[in-house]
This record gives sequence, structure tokens and C-alpha cells, in this order.
Amino acid sequence: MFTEGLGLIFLLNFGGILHLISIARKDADRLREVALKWSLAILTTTVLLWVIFDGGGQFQSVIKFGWLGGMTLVFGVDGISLFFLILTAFLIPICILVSWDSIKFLIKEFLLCLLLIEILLMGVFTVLDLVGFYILFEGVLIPMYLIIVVWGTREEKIRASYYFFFYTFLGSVFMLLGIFAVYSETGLTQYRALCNCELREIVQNSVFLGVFISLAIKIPKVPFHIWLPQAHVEAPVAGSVILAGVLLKLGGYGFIRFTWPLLPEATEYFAPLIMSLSLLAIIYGSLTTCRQVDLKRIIAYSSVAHMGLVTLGIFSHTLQGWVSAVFLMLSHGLVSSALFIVVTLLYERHHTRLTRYYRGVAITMPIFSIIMFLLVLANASVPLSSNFVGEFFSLMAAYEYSYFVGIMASTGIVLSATYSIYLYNRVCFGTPSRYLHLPRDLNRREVCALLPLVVLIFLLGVFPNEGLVVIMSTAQMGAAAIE
Amino acid sequence: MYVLVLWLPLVSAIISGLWGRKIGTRGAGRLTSTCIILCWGVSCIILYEVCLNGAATYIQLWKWFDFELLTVSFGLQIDVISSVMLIVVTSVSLLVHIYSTGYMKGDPHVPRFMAYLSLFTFLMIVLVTSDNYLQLFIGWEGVGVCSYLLINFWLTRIRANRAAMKAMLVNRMGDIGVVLAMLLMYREFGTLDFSTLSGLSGTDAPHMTAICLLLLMGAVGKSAQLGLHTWLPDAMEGPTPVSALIHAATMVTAGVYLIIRSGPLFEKSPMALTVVTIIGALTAFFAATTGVVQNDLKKVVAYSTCSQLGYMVMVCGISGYSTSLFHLMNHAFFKALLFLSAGSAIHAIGDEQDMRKMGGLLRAIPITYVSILIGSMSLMGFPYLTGFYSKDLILELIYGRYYIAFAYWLGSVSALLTAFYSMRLVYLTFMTETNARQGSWDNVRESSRAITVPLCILALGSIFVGYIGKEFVLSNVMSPIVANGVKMIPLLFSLLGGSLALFLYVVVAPRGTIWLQGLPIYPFFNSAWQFNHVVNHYVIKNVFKFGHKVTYKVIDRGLLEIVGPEGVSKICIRLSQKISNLQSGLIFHYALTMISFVVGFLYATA
Repeated sequence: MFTEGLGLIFLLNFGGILHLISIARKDADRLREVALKWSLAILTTTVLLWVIFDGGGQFQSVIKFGWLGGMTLVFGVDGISLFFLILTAFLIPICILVSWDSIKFLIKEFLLCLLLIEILLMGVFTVLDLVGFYILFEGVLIPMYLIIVVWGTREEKIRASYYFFFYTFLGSVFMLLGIFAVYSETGLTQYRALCNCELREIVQNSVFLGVFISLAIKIPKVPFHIWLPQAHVEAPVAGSVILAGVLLKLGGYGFIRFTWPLLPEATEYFAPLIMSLSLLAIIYGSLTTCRQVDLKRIIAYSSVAHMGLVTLGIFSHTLQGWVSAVFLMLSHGLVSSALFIVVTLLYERHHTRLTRYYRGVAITMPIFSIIMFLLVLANASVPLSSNFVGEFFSLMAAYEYSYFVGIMASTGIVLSATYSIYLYNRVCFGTPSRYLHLPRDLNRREVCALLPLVVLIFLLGVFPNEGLVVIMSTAQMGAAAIE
Repeated sequence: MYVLVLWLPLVSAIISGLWGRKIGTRGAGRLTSTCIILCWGVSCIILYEVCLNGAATYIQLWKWFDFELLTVSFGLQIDVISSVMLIVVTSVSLLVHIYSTGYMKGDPHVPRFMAYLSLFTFLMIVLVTSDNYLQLFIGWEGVGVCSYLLINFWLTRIRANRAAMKAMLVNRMGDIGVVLAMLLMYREFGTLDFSTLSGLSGTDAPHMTAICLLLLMGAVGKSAQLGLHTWLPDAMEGPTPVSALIHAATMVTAGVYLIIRSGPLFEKSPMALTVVTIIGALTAFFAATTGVVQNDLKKVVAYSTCSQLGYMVMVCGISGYSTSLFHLMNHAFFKALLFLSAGSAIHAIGDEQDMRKMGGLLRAIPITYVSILIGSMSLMGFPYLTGFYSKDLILELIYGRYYIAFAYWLGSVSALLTAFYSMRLVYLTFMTETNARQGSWDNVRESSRAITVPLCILALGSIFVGYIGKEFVLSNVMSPIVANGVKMIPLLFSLLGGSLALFLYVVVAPRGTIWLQGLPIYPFFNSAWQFNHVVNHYVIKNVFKFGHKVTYKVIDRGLLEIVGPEGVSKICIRLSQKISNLQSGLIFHYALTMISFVVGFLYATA
């Protein structure tokens, strides 16, 4: 039964897209409902995939496609990609819910873009082929770009989408070159076969650099990060959610998949560099976050800092590092998405994103304030939130790597609390600001979009074990393969 | 049944927090108070079972982490320390709950307030009943969050907002220490359980010292020891019941609890112990000197809390963990009493906190006066009151360690100062001619029964807890043998301090006060040794400036944009303009381009 699981997900996705295409453009409510139902069906299937997942570290549910010139494209799920599938499937219905009213034109195209992103992401997270990965990885860029450019809110969106395109495309050139180098060396692009190959060191190093630049832009690492705040600020809420929730994780996922298993020596060689970049990201990102005044920018920069912790985990070459990286990415996908939604809800009411205009929201919007408080706590990695689990293990990995790295990384504990609490204090407490009219608390649809995220964040924090065990078994397989 | 002690406060917090509108102000007060009464009952049974019958208990609820890397369970481990802490937490919490129903009367957000208090109690119980550092850390952070919420309870006040943020962030500084200590423990010993860690033998001393110092850093943050103490006086912006519960009796003692809990680890590192003593003694002294010259009623009590916490930490440094726990327990009662009665006085005189604008309250609110007097006497260590049993013992134990004599003298001088500011407080607030405004003076009357009954109970506690508790807690502590003269020194110092205060304020007043304020050291003490100034102006300001001017303006919005997309687009435009000049329409230009390209290509591929 399991072998069909993945195929079923793809089929459902296609079904959703076809169904949407067949619906008339002006029937907006029906379009939204149909998209929501299909995405919920996909979510159910992915969760079922976890239920029947056998917990081993092997790739399961493998499907093969005949492809260009006799090549076969292989898809498969292991304990790491499983959770990214669930994360993607989880966020798409939420995206549809939160942009229910805020997207006012070209609704059909918007929903199609979302489902297209979903299917492409499902592909990226399961494909076991370098060329396939590259194509899907870049393919996600197109609908994402459209979402920013078409449904963005301000004129600045042109610049933002230029930044977005410039960086990601520049990076992908290097990745493509890297893939060519691997192919010319081994004649293979299949992931599982390549795991058993050993590349020459010079090839490894050059391939690593190519892949690293591309993934570092995606994740984003510090010198390549400036597209992120721009893109986030200008994107509509669904764009921000997908960007923060899943797209950034593509970078981390790529690091986990391609660095240690395929290029062990090069990774070992470059690890200190990346560790220092990660430290830089944590401290530099946090310091910059502390002084931002744009709500979305604050969350975007805090993502840079959190992703620093993720790469810290991955390149520490420890089991807890891998586990923490996956877990922290999942948890950050939930927390920062939820925070983006929260911020957008404020924006929709008051049409400004500058913190200076906000004060005393707790008095006019109590439910909102409760939810935001929980999310801010999660962002500051308070225990019992899922971020804490990820951050703790990540720091553990950093500490295992070197005391110095561990101690430097732990400054993030204070800094993350600083910007999170400052954000909350500024927005929710104080006397109500006179710039705020229309004090309307969350409606049922908005609560329905946020509550699953909040519940899941704390559920993962209180009972993290189920997920950790699965990730762990996969990580152990990976580690054994590297040895 | 033991598990009830954990869940009752949580359930009441959730109900009164989320459905406060449904159950109403009185409903919330009754519900939470009832739950805490039950909780207190259970902890009394626990005290009886565990402390008197010696039946330490462990209940596992679920495994928080259970995989190859780490096994940490979520459960209740109740031994003597935990049961004593439990009884302290639940009894003070119970009285504060009841007190709050009277004190917060008329506030529209009482259900929320009661919910926060209950949530805090729950997290404090998690903290004291955990069997490993990670679960302790849940409570540790959780009480910090609750303290943030409670300081911020009157959320429209900017001063409250600032104080709350400060409390949270300064505490987080200390949390770094706890996290790093946990990581180091995991790295060195692979476990975070108290029982395993305390059973270690023959371990590597440098790592032990590092672990202990890091734990100490956490304790310094939480228990407001010198260096990270700045949040505690500011936290007095919160409602007074909060100050009594969180910033006197329970949360701030969590740091001391951590040290007591980690006693077996500290024992392996003499150096860490010495540092503990030094920090404790310095804090006791520093806070006492500052408390002497404060004019805000609550701030005096806050600095005195800080100072007493210094005593607790100090005695941990000479391995007197039981004594420290004993002082913690005693202090919880008399300090909660002081805060609550201070709150009652403030309430009575129309929310005035400045002692200079009080006075003469003795006749108007006698019950409050009696409670504050008992609390102060107990704090000063007046013979046979609660504070006497632990404070005296601490100083005697310290005296026994000749190599840290300075701690003894700092402690004794602090005792003198403690007596001084206690008497000053009592005198200025209750005895002198009144300086209150006519309007508020006319309305002064004793608070309602919900306020006075907890005061009376706590007053009884401040008299008897020490006498009764010493059998429970100090069963294994031998009183050191010291000369009679030395034994009398703390008492003499206390009496001296008290009489000095009365002498200055009663006999030579008002010249006494003027003389005091004329001292060159006065501004220094009054501004709490300038800690805030140094930290804010030299550290925080520069870090924030760096975050804006350097990382954001110069690098992100400057350098990286020029090197990145902006620069590239500019270069592209300029380059394409130049290249378009090649399209001159002249055939030999095209020919030259072609030939040079072919030559270049051939050269490169050859």
C-alpha cells in the first residue's frame, strides 16, 4: 500500500489543478472552496503517509518515471522528506484561508499558483535525482515570483521580485555547473547511486562551492540574504508564508541531502567556514532584527538568525545536529508562518506595517494578542514550544563541535528574546495608539487559520518524541552511510 | 493524588484565563483560590509523607525525549527539598490569591490576573518537582514569562512595560548560563538527571567548575544577585501581590533552589563554592546599602529581598544547603508579609508609594502596622522570631570558615543595615507626623478582610515558622561551636542598626535625615551603585547602535546592495550601452569582432 502513497499525493495535486482549471473564473467562492478541499485532501494523505511509514531510514514509496532519453526519474520518501511533505501540505490550506478575502483579483490564477507550488515542492522534497532536483528547485521560483509580482501590495514589489530573481537565479547557475561536474565525473545523476560513489577531492570541492552558493542563497546565509526581507515585505501573506515556511527550508533540505552524503570530504573541508557564517548569521541577523521597525522585516531578519542555527546543526557533523536541523526547520516553518499571518492581520486592519504606529493592541484585540504572545514566545524559543527543542539540540551540536561556537551561538538566546519581546511589547502593550481605527478582533476564519499552527507548535514542543524518533533513524542511516 | 498538585493550578489558570468572562470576577477568585487550597492540602500531605515519614516519591508522567541521544522524562520527583519548596510555594500562593481578591477589587481584569497567578504557581511547581535540569528549565523560563505578564498586568503603563521587558531580558542573560551548563553536562556526562549527576564520583574538576559557574550565572539572573540584579527593583511596577508572590517568596528563590539542587555538583568544585560565597556576600552588602537610602516603600523591601537572597546564596557557598533552604522558607513568609502589608498600606493611602509622603499610619491602620512590624522584626533577626533561626545560623556558619572572613563581616554589616532600613521604613511610614495629602489622608482606613486575614496568617508564620521548621529542615545541621561573644555579634549589630535608625530619625530629626542625605556617598547608594547607568549607556546603547548603523545601514542596505543586485544592474546597463556602440553599421567593425572571437575561441579550446 505504501508504494502508492506518494503517487496518490501527486495525483490528488494534479486533480486539484485540473479541477480548478475547469471552474469558471468568476465563481470566486467556489474556486476557493475547491482549492481548500483539495489541499485538505492532500494534507490527509500526507498524514496517512506518516501513519504507514515504517520508521526505517530507507527511502520508501519509491516511484519511477521514464524520462528524457531513457533516464528514469525516481521519487521516494524517507524520514526527513516525510516531514517536509507534511509541512508543505499543512501550510497550503492555511495560505488559502488567510488570503480568502485579501486577494481581490485573479483569484483563479492565484490558487493555481499555490497548488502549483505545492506540487513542485512535493516533487523537490521527494525527488532522488540531481537534475530532477534542479529543475523542480528552480521551477518553484516561477509561481513564487508571480505571486510576489502580481499580488504584492506596493510598487516596491518590482524591486523585491528583481532581488528575489537575481539572487536565486544567480545561485542556480552555480548549482547547475556543479551537477554537470558530477555528471561528467561519474555519468550519474541518481541520488542513491551517487551516495555510493566517491568523487575526487578537487571535484568535490568545486561541486560543493557551486551547490553551497545556490543553497546558501535559498536558506539564506548572511552575505546572500538581502533578498529575503525585501521579498517578504512586498509579498502577499500567502507568499510570505510559503517563502518563510517552506522555501527557505529547501536550502536546509538541500544541505542535508547533498552535502554530507555526496560530498563528505569537501563538506568536512568547508565546515568551519560555514560554521562561522552561521554564527555570523545568528549574531548579525539578531542585532539587525533588534532595530527594525517594519513588522514583516523583523520576522524576516529573525528567520535569517534561526536559519543560522539550522546550518550550525547540519555542519557540526553530529547526529543531534541533523536531528535539530530538521526539527528546527519544521518548527520555524510553523512559527514564522504564523507570525507572518499575525502581522498581516494587523496590516489588513490598519494598513501600516511600521511598529511606530502600533500600541495597545491588547486592549482592542485580546484574542489576537493571546495568539501573538504564544507565537512570540515560540519565536524566542521558550521551552514547551517546538522551537526550543530544535534550538536546544542545535546548540548541543554546536557545543559538541566546539565550545567557542556553542558559547557564541547561545547569545542568540538573549537576542531572540530581545527582538521578539520588544516586538510584542511595542505592538500589544501601552495605551492604545490614536492611529489605530477599526479595532476589530480576529474573525472565525482567521482563528481557524492560526489555531492549527499554534496548537501544532506547542504539541510538537510537549510531545516531540514521535517526530524525533523518525528523524533520528534516518539521520543514523545517513551517518552510517558517510562512515 | 500527588499529581494533583501539578494539575490543579493549571486547570484553574486555563479556566479563569480563557473563560474569565463567563465565570466573572468573583467566580475567578473563588475558583482559583479553591484550587490552590486543594493544592496546598496536597502539599501538606506530601510534606507529611516525604519529610516526616521519609518516603521520597517519583512519578513519571511521560517521556519528553526518549531516543538514542537523550532521555528526559516529564514527572514529579518529590524529596525533602521539593516538599519544603512545595509547601512554601503553595502557602504563599494561596495567601496571595486570597489577598488579591481583595486587593484587585474593582479592576476589570481580575480573572486574567488570577489566571496568571495560578499559571505561575503551576510553573513554579513544575520547577521545584522536576527530576532533571531540562524540566526544571521549563519551569525556570515559564515563571520568567509569567513574571513578564504579571509585571505588565497594568499594560497601559509605560513604566510597567519597560520593567517587564527588562525583567524578561535580564533573566534571559542568566538563562544562557543554565543552557550552557546543561549542554556541558550532556557533553561530559550524557545525562541531565539530578540523580545520575549527583552520584558522579571522581570527575574532571575543570568541567565541574565550569558547569557550576554557569549554573551560578543562571542563579544570579533569577535570584537577582549582583550584576544581574537590576530587574528586581524595577519589577516593583507590578501589582503588589505579584511582588509578594514572585519577587519575594518564590520566583526569585528559584536561583537559590537551583544551587541547592545542584549542591552535589558544587561540592566537587571548591572554586565555584568560593565564587558563590563572594557573590552572595557582595549582593547582601550591596543591596543593604542601597535599601538604606531608598524612598519608595516597595523598593526598600525589594532591595531587602535582594539582600536576603544574597544571604541564601552566600551560605550555599559554604555547603550550608539546608540552612539556605531554611532561610529561603523563612524569608518567604516574612517577606511576603512585608510586601502584602506594604501593599495594604499603599492601598490605604491612595496608591502612594513614597515613604516621605506617608507617616502617621499607626493609628489609622493598626493591623497593617502590626504585620509590618512583625515582618521587620523577623527580617532583622529579632530573637525567637522566624528570621532569627536562619539568619543567626547563617552568620555563625560563615564565621566558622575563617578563610572567607570578609563574607562574615559583609554579612554582619548587612545585618546592621537591614535593621536600619527596617526601622526607618516603620518609622517613616507609621510613626512620624503624617505627610500625606489631605485628600488621601481622609480616606485612610483598614483594608477589607480578604487582605487582613492573609496578613494575620503570614504574621503568625513569621513568628512561628522558624521555630517549627528547624526540626524539619535543619535535622542534619549541627550548630557550629563559636564563642559567646561572636554569637552575639549579629544580634548586637541588628539592635545597633535599629537603634541608630530610631536615633537619627526620632532624636536628631530632621537634622538626621539631612545629615544622611548630605553624605557624599548618598547619591551613589541611592542610584544603586550606578549599575543601570553603566549597562544602559555603555553596553546596550552601543550594541543597538551597532545593529542599526553598522549591520543594517552600512552592510545590508549599503555594501551588499552595491556589490549585489544594484551594482550588477548598473554595470549591466553601462556595459550594454558600450556594447551597443559596436553596432556601428560598419562592416569592418563586425569583421574584427568576428575574427577576434574566433581566435579567442580556438585559443581557449586548443
